[in-house]
Amino acid sequence: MFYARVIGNVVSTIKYKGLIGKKLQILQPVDMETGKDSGMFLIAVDTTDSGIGDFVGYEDGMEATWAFDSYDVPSDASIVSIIEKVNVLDNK
Amino acid sequence: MVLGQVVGSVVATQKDKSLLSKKLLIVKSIDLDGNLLDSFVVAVDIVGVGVGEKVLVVNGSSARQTEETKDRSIDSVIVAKVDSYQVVK
Repeated sequence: MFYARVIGNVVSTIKYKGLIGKKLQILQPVDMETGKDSGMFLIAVDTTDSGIGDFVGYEDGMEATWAFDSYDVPSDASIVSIIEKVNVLDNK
Repeated sequence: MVLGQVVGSVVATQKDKSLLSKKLLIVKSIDLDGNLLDSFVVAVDIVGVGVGEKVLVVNGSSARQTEETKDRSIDSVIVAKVDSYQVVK
């Protein structure tokens, strides 16, 4: 699972039937230790009920499809948790 | 999923039989301001989009989780046409 911040959402009417009714969020990956943005934004299918500004955990790759009951959801990134707090032990 | 813009199409007569009658489009990644980036993929279109339209592309083995692409040699698929998006920075 990876850590990211929801920065926006995508509106799409013409889409594959397996994605109908699914919320599409724009995520900015965040470094857990520093809290700073890291890497390129991505679009993820939401299985929670996240909103803009929330910190979330997402799965990528094939695991992203396992978040759904149906085998008919083509998703390579899925939001699977809303994260309230992160505790990182400072080893430096 | 990757946000992209369709910039062209690919015509291939000799191809694997699992790719027969699949529409192949060239999709360039875009940033949130709509600027084209350098990276691109050739993706199979299953929703019916055209050149110039903004789309969402699914990559990797997840791309085969549709009826149209199941058990085929496909690793990039266009799953949605983007109408609009909202970003709060």
